[in-house]
Amino acid sequence: MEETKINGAAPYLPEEVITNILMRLPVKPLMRFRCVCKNWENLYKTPFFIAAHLRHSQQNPFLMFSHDYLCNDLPLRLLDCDMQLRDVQKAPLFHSLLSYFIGSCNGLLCFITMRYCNFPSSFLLWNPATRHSIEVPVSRTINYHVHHMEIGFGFSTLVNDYKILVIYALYSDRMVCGVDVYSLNKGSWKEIAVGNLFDISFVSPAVSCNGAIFTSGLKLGKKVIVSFDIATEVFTFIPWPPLLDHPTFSKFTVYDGKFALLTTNLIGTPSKVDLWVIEEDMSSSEDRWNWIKKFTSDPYPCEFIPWTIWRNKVVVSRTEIGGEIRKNKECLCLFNITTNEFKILDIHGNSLQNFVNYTESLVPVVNATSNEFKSLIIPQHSIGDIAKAF
Amino acid sequence: MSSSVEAITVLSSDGDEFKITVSAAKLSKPLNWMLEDVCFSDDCDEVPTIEVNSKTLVKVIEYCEKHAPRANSGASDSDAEELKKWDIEFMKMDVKDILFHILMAANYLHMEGLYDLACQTAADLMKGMTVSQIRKIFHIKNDFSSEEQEQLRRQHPGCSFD
Repeated sequence: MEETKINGAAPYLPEEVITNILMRLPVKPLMRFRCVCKNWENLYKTPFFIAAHLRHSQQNPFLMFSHDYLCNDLPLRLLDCDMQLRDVQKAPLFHSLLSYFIGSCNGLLCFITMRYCNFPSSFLLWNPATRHSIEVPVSRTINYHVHHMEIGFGFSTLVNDYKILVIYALYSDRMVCGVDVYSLNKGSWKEIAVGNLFDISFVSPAVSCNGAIFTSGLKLGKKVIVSFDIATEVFTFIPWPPLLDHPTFSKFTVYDGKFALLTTNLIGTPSKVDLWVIEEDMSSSEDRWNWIKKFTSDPYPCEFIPWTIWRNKVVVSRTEIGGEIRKNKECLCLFNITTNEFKILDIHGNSLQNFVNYTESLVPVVNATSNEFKSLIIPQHSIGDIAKAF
Repeated sequence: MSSSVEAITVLSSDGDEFKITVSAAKLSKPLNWMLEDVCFSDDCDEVPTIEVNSKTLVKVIEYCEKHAPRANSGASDSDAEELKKWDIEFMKMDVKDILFHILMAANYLHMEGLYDLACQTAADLMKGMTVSQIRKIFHIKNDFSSEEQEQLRRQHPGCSFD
């Protein structure tokens, strides 16, 4: 401290203090500052810095969603903590005809893409902030008319690996005919035993948290939640919460780092939404899963669909009455879980969906086998350049 | 003992005397240890020196006095909101003139809240700066050779070294 002088130049900051400042920067300026010096450029690649930056970034997650499902290139939007909307640059969907969003985890997005109608060709793992991406060919050649694919994407800190889970089922009898898992670290697919999954007909899209991927299906006509441990690659069955004698709409989400369920009444108004969180009681072998109702919204005189939880608020979409037909017919609303305040946002769209929490990160999309990953970095101006070339 | 006094006197690195209340001093771990170790009664003539210059110490003490009541008793959400606004106003300062000195002081005095706030403020200020402005405030030399610069430009079109 003693050599610092007032009114002169800024003092020399210790390296650890500089690192602590840098880990709070958004990815865009951080990338710009890689040209400052070699130390900084190398720092961004260290697992320590990537993890520390991610932890800061996770305190301010964006709400990401697609606002026009009918559009081929799947336009994504971000809502920041100041309720400002931002567009996400278009995904590098290579030569695909159509793509579906699968999930978001630590700043990485997963899509499945189709080169021809009904024939899934590859997965896309993409970090929109760093513009890195890789294409992972699907493990089996299938036809969407014949097969159903249940897909999940998640991360486990235990093995420090990102995995894509694909459960294949036949539409004819809804029987599971295969399970494949892709490991980003290994850069390869692996088939795992179907086991007692065989008679489950999967129904809902998967979510991931805490090192597991959660999905659900019907087993002997009864609803069951299937959890896949990303580290051990073992499936576990979890019972549904003790709902509900009337028809309900349910949606998987994550609350406070835990797997959770949003439910709402399907028919009639007023509508209300319930939030259920599961807690595992390891001490008891039976009934080790406890569902706890964390929140019930005030009744609201309009039908809505709950999607996810973002910054302690339940995100719901409401169908506009008297809006222009097929155009901007849905609008976004938030239920504050603490105060129960209902807020209608000035955000409209046609078929709003794919709502996830998105965290900007430096997490690389590389694996042991993709030495050529640098050639897959999509430069900022590449699309324009290609257009000019023609 | 320390419980009998409400405020203590400390010296800055420039040799100026400053008063700080005991509850505010507790926000800093080293100051807290000092409170436990050293006799701070009126007839005690030992005045500890804090290796922080006067201009910076004024700001650090201002922060401590503002945050002490909440740190010691917990506060309602509206208090937290108000404190957040105060923090934003408090941090409107020049990087090279004072912010980096506050960062160093918060680091040295183990004041987590102020350190986080100052780091975040510095990060927010950096967002609008050019690469050469960043080098200047952090005293960093551009150590890329022209070949390395060329290579980075090829990998990341549009990146600038100025």
